[in-house]
Amino acid sequence: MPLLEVSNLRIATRSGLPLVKGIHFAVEPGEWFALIGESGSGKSITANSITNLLNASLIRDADAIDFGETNLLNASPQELRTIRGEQVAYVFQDYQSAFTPYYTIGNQMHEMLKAHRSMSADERKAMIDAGVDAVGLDPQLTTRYPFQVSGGQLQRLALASAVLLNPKLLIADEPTTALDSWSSNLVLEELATIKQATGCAILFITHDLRIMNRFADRVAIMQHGKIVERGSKDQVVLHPQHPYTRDLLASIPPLRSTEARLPVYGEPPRIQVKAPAKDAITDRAAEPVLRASDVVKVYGSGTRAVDGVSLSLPTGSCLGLVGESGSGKSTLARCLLSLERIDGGDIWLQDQHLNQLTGAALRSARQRMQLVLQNPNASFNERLPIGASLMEPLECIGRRSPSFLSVGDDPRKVSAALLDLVQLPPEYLDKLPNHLSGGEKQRVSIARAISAEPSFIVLDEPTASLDVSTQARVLNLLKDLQEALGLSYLFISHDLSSVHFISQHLMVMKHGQVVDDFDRDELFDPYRHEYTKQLIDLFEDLPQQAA
Amino acid sequence: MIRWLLQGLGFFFVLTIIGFLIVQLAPGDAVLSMLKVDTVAVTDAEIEALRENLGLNDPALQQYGRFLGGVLRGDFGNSLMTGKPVMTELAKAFPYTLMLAGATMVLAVVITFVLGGLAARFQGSLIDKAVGVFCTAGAALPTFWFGLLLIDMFAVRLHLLPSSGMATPAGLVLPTVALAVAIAPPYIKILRNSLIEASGREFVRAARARGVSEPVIFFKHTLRDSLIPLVTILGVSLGSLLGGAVIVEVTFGIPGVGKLAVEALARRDYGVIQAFVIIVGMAIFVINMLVDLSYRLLDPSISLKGAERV
Repeated sequence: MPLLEVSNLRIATRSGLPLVKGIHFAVEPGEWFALIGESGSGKSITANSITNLLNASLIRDADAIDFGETNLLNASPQELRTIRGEQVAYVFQDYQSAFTPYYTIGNQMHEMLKAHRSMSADERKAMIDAGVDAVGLDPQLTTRYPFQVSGGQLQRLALASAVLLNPKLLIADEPTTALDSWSSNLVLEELATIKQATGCAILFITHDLRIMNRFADRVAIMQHGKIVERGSKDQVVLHPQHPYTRDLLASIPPLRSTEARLPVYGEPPRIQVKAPAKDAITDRAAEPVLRASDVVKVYGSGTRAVDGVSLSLPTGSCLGLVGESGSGKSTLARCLLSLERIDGGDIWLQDQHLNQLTGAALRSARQRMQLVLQNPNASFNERLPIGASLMEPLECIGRRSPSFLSVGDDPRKVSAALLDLVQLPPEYLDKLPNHLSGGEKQRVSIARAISAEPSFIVLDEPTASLDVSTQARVLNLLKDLQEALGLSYLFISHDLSSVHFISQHLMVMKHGQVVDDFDRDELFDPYRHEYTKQLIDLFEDLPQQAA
Repeated sequence: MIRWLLQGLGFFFVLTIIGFLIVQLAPGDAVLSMLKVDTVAVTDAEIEALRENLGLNDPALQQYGRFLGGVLRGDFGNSLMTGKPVMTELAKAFPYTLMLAGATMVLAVVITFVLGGLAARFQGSLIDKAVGVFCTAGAALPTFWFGLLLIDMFAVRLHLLPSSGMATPAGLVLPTVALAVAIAPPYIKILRNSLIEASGREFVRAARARGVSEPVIFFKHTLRDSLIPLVTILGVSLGSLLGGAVIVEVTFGIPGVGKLAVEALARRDYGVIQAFVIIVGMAIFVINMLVDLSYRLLDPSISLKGAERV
């Protein structure tokens, strides 16, 4: 008999928009069940609806939600309260909100135990300390407030508190999505250990197929509020039946592939531009567009955020920068863009000594650099229509049209042509940013960055907040544009597979220093740095599907 | 702490300068208004003599120095209206205003938590709408008219409460109600909205997922998150209440500082006005400091900022 059986679950908004359209699934005791889907597929609200944690704006209906002997659908609020935390525990994606910021973590763990057990304060403390110790953390951490603990630690503390009472079912809703690969790996290993030790079942909600492949026993794939495919993990990975499953599996750039494009989503776009003369590119390729030597950036208390980094970005190529959060990769990017003053070293933009420029010369140098950020929502003025935001760089440099377009000077035509480059229709010019999806906004960011024909573009985690299939499209697009226009990129990410897919040369950063530095095809060389090797293990390729 | 003291000191000097300038820049001639109590004719010589006597012909800086010295000794001169020292007049009026302000704040906070809490809990229901109507009405009714209605109802018809004055504590009831109903509506709206916002926060969901009971979630997690915006505006209102609720004081015949200040203005009793500006100004400064302090108690991330933040 399954531990949890959800029958014909439907969730809709109060205005009647269906989000989950009658799904069935069952979780067996002690298994790792992965519910896979992209944003908007309804997977998170499915997880929340099980113990009725939905927002008041959503309505849940089902034939039954059987948890053991109890039908959770008919359970009283009091019954539900005792089941939550005791029998069914949750870990959410937003680790910063795992605990209320106004109380210490320990206070909230005590609060949870008080809600379920009558124990003395000493007994509670012993239990909490043991639980925190079990996830490999110092129990002293519980005396801190949530904002005084790092993201990875906070998520492990959330996990520790979730399993304090040995629940039978642990619902983990994208618990590692907001963490970098290293912290994410620690949390996952901890989760596997807990499952081993307590025999609890895990309902794991994710969009990450690599995690699914590493840990899951059984899998269900959700799309648009329906389960489109289900089965054992091997069955789904090796013999995917539904086209959507195949697309998802193909969206991940494999480390061992040398394919130029990710094989999904049809043909390469027809990019119509006046291509720069081939000779011009090869001539320029000899000289790097950006050079830096021994760059140092020190923050207030003496932390060397960037500690003696040298690099060279050849014209028309892509340099990839991999590192975990706090490794200094974004700080380095800000230094290179001369958004931060450096405390040592030199930066050259073509023949200009960038860190010695001031005033007007610096401003004009900045016009030759562009930046695409991780969060597409933060990079648009939400009151300006897309067209206006798109044309800002051109207005700043006082040009009517980039030289690679041949559509004349009419701003409307120019902006439409720019959108066309990133495969968006001209109607989008009049939309407000809110009406675009994250992936679409990121495309507009890219179009905006290339419009001023910068010498190089810094892409700082440009795909980290996107779904896998959207990420695949954006990566393909970036490659296509680079080829057509001879662009130079500095691509920054903690995701080794994306960086590897797009870059000709890779650098691995740790604690502000470059620990490894190699060409794309040298990734699997035996003399790679230990740290790089660990990283490669985290991005193990999915097994090849049978044809 | 030292920063606050320095700020307070700076603020005090700004206030004394303003108080001083009130007299210097006021239209009309203080000496004339002092002498022309009746229609008795005054000679230029008499005017000049009084000017000299009051030190009004000295350089401005010297006059300010003398004024500041007086302020530091708590001496604002004598009131023109009564001839008694200004400080005595204010000391008589302040207790009334303090009592009224204190009672009003307590009542307004109680009304806010009850109505704001109910409106948030039953969001969109009839209760929520009724609270909305109450807020609109409370904010729209002129205080003096609402005060008169209260007097008519409870004093004239029902003979339950005195209509004016504060001879007995019962005299405090009607003005407190009139004032609290007038100032509570924005607090109710703010509390309602921030409670609704807080109840949708992820950490509230996380607490619920741990099996924490609803009363604990509300009082410990949701309410805590809603208090900061409320405390801010409560501090602002308390400051203005200390300046005296003029309309209510006049309507109910309460001899508080608001009433005193208005009368002093009408009679150009500059000493009283100066003392009023400086004392009430400093009181508002202290309240703002307390509001600042309460942020630190309410949100540990403010007091711990920089110290151990990751």
